[in-house]
Amino acid sequence: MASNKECLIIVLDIRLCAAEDVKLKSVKCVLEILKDKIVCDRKDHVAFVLVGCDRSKNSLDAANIVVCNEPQLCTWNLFINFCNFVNETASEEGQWLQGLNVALALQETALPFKPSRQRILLLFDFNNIPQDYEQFNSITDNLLESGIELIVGSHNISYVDNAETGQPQPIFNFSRKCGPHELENQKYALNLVPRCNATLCSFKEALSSVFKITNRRPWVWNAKLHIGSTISIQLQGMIAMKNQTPVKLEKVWAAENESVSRETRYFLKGTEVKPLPEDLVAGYMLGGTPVPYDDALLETKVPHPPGLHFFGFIKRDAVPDEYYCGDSLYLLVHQKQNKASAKKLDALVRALIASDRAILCWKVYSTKLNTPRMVVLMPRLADDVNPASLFMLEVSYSGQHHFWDFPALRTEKTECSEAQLEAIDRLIDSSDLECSLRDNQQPRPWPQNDLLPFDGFPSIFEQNLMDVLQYRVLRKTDNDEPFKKMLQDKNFSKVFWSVPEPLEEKSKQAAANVKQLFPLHYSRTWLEKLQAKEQEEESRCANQEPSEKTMVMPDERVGLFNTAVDFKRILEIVRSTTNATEKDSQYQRLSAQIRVVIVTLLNRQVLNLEQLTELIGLYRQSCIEFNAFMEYEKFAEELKEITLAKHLKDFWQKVMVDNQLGPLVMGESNFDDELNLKLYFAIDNWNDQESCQDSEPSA
Amino acid sequence: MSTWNPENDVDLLSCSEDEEDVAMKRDYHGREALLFVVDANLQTAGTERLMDALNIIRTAFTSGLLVSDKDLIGLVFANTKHSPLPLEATAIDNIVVPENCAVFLPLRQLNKAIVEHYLEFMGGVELQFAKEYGLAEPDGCGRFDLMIRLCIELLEKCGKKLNNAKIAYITDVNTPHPPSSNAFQAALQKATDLEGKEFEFHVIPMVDDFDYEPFYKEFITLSRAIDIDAFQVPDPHVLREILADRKLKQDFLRRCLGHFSFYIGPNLSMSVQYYNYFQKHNYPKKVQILRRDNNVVRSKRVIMVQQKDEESQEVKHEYQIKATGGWYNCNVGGENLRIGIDKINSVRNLHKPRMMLLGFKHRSSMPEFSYSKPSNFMYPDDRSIIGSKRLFRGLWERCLARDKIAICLFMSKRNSTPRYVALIPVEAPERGQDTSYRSLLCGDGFKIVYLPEAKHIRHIDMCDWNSAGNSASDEGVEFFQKIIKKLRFDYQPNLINDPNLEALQANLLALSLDFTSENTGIENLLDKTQQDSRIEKLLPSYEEIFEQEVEPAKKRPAKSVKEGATASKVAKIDMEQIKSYDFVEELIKNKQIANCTVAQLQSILDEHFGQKLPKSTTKAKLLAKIEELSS
Repeated sequence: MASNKECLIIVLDIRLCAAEDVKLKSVKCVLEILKDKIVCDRKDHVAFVLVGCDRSKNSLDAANIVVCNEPQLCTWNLFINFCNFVNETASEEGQWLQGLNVALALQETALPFKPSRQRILLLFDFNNIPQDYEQFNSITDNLLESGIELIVGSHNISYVDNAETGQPQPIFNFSRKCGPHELENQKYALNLVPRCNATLCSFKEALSSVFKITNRRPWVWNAKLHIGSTISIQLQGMIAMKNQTPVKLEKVWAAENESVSRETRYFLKGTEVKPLPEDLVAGYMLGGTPVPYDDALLETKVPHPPGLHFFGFIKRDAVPDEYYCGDSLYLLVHQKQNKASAKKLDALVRALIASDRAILCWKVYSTKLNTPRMVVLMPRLADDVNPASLFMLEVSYSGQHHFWDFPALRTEKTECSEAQLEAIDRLIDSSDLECSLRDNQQPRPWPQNDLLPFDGFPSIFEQNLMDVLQYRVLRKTDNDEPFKKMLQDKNFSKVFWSVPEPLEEKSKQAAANVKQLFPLHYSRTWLEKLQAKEQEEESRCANQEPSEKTMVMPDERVGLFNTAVDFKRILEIVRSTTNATEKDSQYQRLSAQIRVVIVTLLNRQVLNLEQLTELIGLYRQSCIEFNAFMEYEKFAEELKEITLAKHLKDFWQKVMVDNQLGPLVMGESNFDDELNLKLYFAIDNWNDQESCQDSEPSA
Repeated sequence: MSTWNPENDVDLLSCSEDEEDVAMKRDYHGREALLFVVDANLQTAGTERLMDALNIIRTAFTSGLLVSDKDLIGLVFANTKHSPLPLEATAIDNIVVPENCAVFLPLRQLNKAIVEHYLEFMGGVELQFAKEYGLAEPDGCGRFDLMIRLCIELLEKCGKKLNNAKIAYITDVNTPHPPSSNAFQAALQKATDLEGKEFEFHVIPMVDDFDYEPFYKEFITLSRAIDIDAFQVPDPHVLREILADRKLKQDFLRRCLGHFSFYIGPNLSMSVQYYNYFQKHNYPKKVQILRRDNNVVRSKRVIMVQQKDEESQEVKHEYQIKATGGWYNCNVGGENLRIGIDKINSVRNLHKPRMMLLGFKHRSSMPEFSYSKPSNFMYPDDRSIIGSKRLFRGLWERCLARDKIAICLFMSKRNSTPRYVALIPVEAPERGQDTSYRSLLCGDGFKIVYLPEAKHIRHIDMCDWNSAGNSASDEGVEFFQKIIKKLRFDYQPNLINDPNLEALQANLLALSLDFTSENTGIENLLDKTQQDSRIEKLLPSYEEIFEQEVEPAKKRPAKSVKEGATASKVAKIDMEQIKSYDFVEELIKNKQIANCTVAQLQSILDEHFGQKLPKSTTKAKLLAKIEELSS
């Protein structure tokens, strides 16, 4: 893999005459750069040159210039040392061009490290102190020839759009107080841009310029795109974007005098077992059944050939971007220096754009990582900076997709009034990140016409982590108290949670207006509901045995002796059950029992009519309470059938008819109901053989 | 809300901090359960429809068997005449099965025996069903409320903790009871029971012209506690298809990824929830099985740390540490500074879960090719901040009308990291407008697109690739246009499934259930014969138009030594020499030790210093160790 290390020489202005603000900001800038390089474990070499010292220490014997260190790797040591370096005794004098010259010489000494990039960062206050520009041309020529990139950061820089190119262009803030020397210094600083392609920028931009690294030799994945078995294009894939933290920290498991080993242990139902390797076989769970499945035995197939295997030309927007997966975006270009593949890819990309299509294909990464993955390739035409290329994104499989049932948002309840919509419009207008800046040509403190450009979002986690590490390293203490205090302080995390400053006031007002018009209030109902549910679950888990009352149910049955008492008692338990479904089912069980008991009692030789009256009455009453009209209706029919079959004339008259224990009527009874009841009670065709079965009641 | 006054609600807002602390700490443990209920009325239109329904269930039984092996599945028949007991009759001992219902399978984790039993049942269904189960008399209407009660009971008494329980009712009847009947009202009342118990109810119509009015629309909206005018009529065909994958449209209230407050200004927030469009790739976990009795053995990797006595090499102290244990090393001035994992984690806790509006941009400003991680979906929730839905709708509607996107900072949950996101307004397709799978993708709401951080974007200088000769002739473009025409393909998101998973599943089913599936297998995945035959006629011009690709010259020609190639890289120092400590000492003194190869350095450390470092140790670290030990 191509090494991407760089050599960065940072030239700082520490002259007594330089503005304190510039000095402070430049130190902060350097600390940020160092932190980043340490935490991300970059192999870059860095050295510092101070301009405006009381003494001189450099290979060129330039006055007032001190070289703090030879180019070296960034470590926390260097970080701490730098804090001491910058406190070097300062003087009024110091030439920035000489500083650049010394930096150039330092770059020479760093060549044995074979850096792929050489850069000089000059942080300087171009104030009203005269500078010597005799060597300006020669030094800038040297810079240009050696291919060393120069970034110049200063404090009073603004940006305007270039009239011709439309690109942002740095300028010095105009001030009436500017002295003639200051103007001249600024002129030369501005001149660095055309003379040696320098980047002139504000401190904030200087930092992002240092972090923005353009790579000429990226890591590539060589692959062939096969369409059918004849057409193939040799491509190179490189990562264009990847969701990956650059932080590299060394993880340690044990102290130096300890040794670490990793082993696998086996457990059978919670107890550790030590099976021999040959006792075990790999497998999968098919639902609850383990199925032995030895990949090695079954899959002795040849690996898929690596590369991209064409599947189909699909409409460009056929794959919804919601279904993109993976953590990176790849850029595919032709193989370097392969003219034939360049031409083929160019033709393919142009054809795809013309017919508004994209390619769906299987990606097989290599013979080792051989699992085919579905990817979509999106075309991008060649332009001044890029050759014709394809962007590659992984697509999720249909088995992974979720389907949601979202109710429509436009309902009567959510209808907004004119005034409400207007307030929202005002909020949108007052927090517009682009428009408010586009039309005026006033210089602005940031380069782009956008307050939050898409390519400039900071990594918040990394930034916080670096701040915390810096704190730990500088304090070198294990005492947690100040650390906790610092975390509580949270200033360094809060800074991200704010609207860009220029919009702050306006958007605040607009939001207040929205707040006035949209009534909102907190509700804790959901929380209470949740807690109640949790509690219920907890109590269910806590006493695995059901509570006393419910425990009665399974064992207790309605007996044949004290039937009515049993029934009343159990019914009371059922009534006290809070869970509706539980209650319902308990009642079902109870009513089934009582029905069986009643039928059994009816089958006795001697009927206890009083008991039967009480029981049927009780059951009928409970059916009303538990809304079991249908059940009772069926039971009443059953009773009638038994009565008919057994000729229980007495029972029928004294129990059923006299006590009116017929089917239940829902609500107010009407004529139909009464007719039905009459029909129910009327039994005309008592069988003739009266003599045989009907027995005398004993009561 | 007429009493509401923004001046007076300071107290309410000051407790917003607490509000976040308790934010939806839901318990997501428990198993998923899916209870199929098949309406016996399906047999009235001939057994074909019933068979179709049973086939859907069959595929659902087998489709997730592998990846979601812990799920519980049950099957009940409704509106039957008879109620035969299930195979495992004791399982429903404490359950009252109402009339006109039959439990075929109480909720169970599927296993081979159950699937076999089901397949056997399916084999005889055409002849036996009418006799064994029959149809409720006289009109095929059993009591719907009792059926729901049975389902609730089955779910509640399944003996496992449930997290996501669903009832899928497969029917072809528009309403279970006539609208004016008592049974109709009783059935509707059961919807609130379902809502309270958080059991989802889905109706899967087996006919395409299914009318959700008057019953199911109301029943479903009641069971989900949503407004009746917010009900979106689903496409029965798609519902059936996704059910075969053991999937149902998920309830938006319960199955969200998280709940947070969206601040659109100081002290102005609404409550919202977010969702994912797809889940992580779920590959079945391999298990270790004991050969003799087919018992599953759980394996666990452990990290052991041992402290040995230097002289006797006896283990003085031994302990096990968690994978999350250990610490980070920071080398400061030759001294190793320990930074505990908790310190690093505390960095994650610096921010609170929330989303904050930073500003708006025009939709066209979104870069065409940008990707960081899969997008999410955002939908309002009126539960913790009442009125959120209206505010959300207002914002959504205006963004939609004005083509705006909102740029926000978003911390999704505790211990995550804040990310910059773009909220893009999306809209559900109009009724009947789009019935493809795509229509399942979105509802009304915002799509959360994660924006790449500056450090995630790689800047590549393409100057080595750019060349004037790259551009193709018009002929070439024409050729590819013809190829595109021949190989066009209409893509639908449901078309592509994971070939590896399918192959594994097919193999396992074949192994254990003697299933032969139509799966063509992964072998034919990259088969190109069909493509070849389609573009056959065009191919002759391919070689005419395009030159043959010549691999660019390699940097080092791979000549053999015989052909006079320079010898391959050899170590500068002889392996034999480093066996003598004096020689090694000399090397260290003269700072030539760096000339040794990594393997040599390892052997020096081993032989002369008695130290063994991991193989992955870099050369720099090996050198540092040797220097440290020799000084």
